[in-house]
Amino acid sequence: MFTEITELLVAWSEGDREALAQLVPIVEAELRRLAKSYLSKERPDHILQTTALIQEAYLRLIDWQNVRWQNRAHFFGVAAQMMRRILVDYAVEQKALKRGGGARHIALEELGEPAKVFSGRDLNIVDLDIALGKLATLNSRQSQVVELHFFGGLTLKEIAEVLDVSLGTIKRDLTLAKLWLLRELG
Amino acid sequence: MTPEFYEQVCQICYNALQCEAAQRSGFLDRACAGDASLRKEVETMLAYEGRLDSFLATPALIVAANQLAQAMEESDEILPGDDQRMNGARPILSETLAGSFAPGVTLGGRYLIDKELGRGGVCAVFLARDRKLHDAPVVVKVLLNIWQETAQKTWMEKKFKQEIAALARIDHPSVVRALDVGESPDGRSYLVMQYVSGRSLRSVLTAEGMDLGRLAKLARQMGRALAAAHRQGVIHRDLKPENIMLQSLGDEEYVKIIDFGIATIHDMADAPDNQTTEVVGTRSYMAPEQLRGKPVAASDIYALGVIFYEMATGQRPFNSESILHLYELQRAGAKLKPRDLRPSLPEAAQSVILKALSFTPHDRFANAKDFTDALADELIGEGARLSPPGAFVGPRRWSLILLLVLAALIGVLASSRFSFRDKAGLERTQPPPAAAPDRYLSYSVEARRDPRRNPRAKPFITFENVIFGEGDEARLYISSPQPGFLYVINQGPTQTDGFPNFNILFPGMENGGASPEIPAGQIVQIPSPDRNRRDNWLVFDHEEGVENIWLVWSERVVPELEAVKSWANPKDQGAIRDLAQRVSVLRYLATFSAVRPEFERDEVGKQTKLRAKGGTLAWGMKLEHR
Repeated sequence: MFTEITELLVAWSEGDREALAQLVPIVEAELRRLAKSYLSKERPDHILQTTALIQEAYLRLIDWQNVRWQNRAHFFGVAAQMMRRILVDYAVEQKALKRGGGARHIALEELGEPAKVFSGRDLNIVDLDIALGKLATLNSRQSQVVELHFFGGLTLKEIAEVLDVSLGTIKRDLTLAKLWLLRELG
Repeated sequence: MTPEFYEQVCQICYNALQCEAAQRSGFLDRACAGDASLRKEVETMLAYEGRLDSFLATPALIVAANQLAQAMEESDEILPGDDQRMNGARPILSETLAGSFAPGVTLGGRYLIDKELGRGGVCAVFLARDRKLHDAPVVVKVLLNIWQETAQKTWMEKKFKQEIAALARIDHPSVVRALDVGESPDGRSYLVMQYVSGRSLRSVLTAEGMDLGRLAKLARQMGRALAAAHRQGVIHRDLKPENIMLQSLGDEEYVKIIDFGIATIHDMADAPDNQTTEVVGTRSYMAPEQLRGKPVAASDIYALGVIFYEMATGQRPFNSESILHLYELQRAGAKLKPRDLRPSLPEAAQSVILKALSFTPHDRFANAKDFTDALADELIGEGARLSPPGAFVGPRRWSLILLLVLAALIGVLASSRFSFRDKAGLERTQPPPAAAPDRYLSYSVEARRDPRRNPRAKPFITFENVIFGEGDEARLYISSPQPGFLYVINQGPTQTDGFPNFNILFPGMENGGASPEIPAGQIVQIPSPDRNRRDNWLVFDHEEGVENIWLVWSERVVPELEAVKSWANPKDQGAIRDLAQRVSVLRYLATFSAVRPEFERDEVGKQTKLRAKGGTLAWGMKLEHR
């Protein structure tokens, strides 16, 4: 059933840029739908706390629970990367539009004010992406754990399964990666 | 920083986190052993300990959506459409609405509010009585005030008025008629429409599908109505059986399309071309471009295609809760063609429906009337008249199920986008010679409830119509008055890649594979008594689904199935897991669907007797587990 998504993801991971382009509008439509639902509620921050909504959002995009893929690690890895790429590109674009449009791709270092409070709304996804890239050169698994958790929406248990290491190791990786990223984002 | 140094920092950091606060400083002294730069790195990282729980606790998608919401709030961006129906949330209800439109209130000195019928995304709908026209029932539709911003409100008001104007221009007997417009004392525009009595198309849909002649008549009317709306620039955007009303007048049935509630004006001058609208409506009927927020007139044609598919077969071509998944299913095309489910549907009519379900709007019909006229013409052609609707439904329900299983197989094969070459090359080498004697085979199922939970449960003989739970067990007894060669293959539930797994149940895999040869009259037990399974039963695990067990009974060795045998893993219950091999097996088994055996059920002995022409008999039986 998920052949098409899987094919698109695999094609993209193999360098087919078209494949990503086909996924982008769907993710963006979902983003807008979610954003709208926050707008229509009285207290968006409150909704953020409900895990049900988060689950729902991911289920809408990719039916993770039902994916019994022969190469799970590869699939989840690629899916999380896809989500990272799309969301980061989207953040870059939004910033560009805010600055008056025109240049769609502006230099990364020109972007955004430094993020100070990390309660979701103030998290600068573009900066996080850059920091995550740096972390990968120091410890690639830590960077991967963050990618799977934050962009891929996987639980720690699922990550342990996907990367085939113990849950304890994943917890350690995530804790240390967060500390490092927090310091890096200052 | 080098990876090695970072690892050192990590080690110390993590151990320090496990320390009691009081011991931490002492621990760092010892661990860093006077290395000042190491200590500084560790300490700057540890300084963020308090933020560990909140940082990255929210998935990126939600974070991004929130930021987008914030940006929308700050900017004057207008959000056309609405998604309230989809997430089940209620729009912000306004107190004044309740007051001005409360039961008993008369609007414009003419329309007496009776009750609220429902509330959609942007509108509330009331039933009212026309005081000037003998209290005739009418429907009053009012725009809800869900927008805080003046700009959005103005935009919606304008859109609503344009919709009213457009609706008023559509003059077609199958489109609900706009009767009047007005403004309530609190300044809301409202629209008065014809009240449509009758029943909805939904209420007349059945699992067997509709009479094809009736389908033709209804389709023609629906197409004409939509074409009239499209000519006025109105896209319905929410076509579904619930919005198609049927009214009977004498022997004739008339269609009335209602709820242009979220219809939008697509030639609106002031909405930017590339503005995407929110995804609204019932998704199963939505065209792919509408899922992406860009509905066009051809999206309505797609929705009609889905509706006709459902009218003909009782099923919708695509079903998924996930937008992305639905979109992918749409891209892949209907796995089950309408004729797989309704063989009496003329081939040409099927082609017409599938054309309307084209992924790309451009590939569909350009005009709703052309579409439905083409469909109706094909439906009332020769083919439809020769095979009355429902003729394929066998005397028993399960024969239909088996047929559906076979149809599903053909559907999977026909629409499979796997284009890799059939590595295994399981083309049927010998079509069954017509002169060969008939083949006979009998089988029965023995079932037992989970013996661990029900230690006293006794096995019982049954047909395959029982439903198995986790831990329940089954086995088969197969025999024939003729000698021959038997292959039993289990086809499991469809996997995420769209193809099922297979297991060879017979012949056994031991010692390099046993012989499929069976003497006349011998009863074969499956799983074989010598197999190393729990008490030699097939045990159902927790996974839900349907096991299709294929019995192939041939007068000679079947080379294709000997090849299949060689792929099976003897250490894994004869499992075949390789994708290419699974596709080959599926293709091979599907070749048998054209030659279905005749069968007879012996109600006393719970035995099914099969008879087939030619040298080979193949039968798919279905065991369901939940």
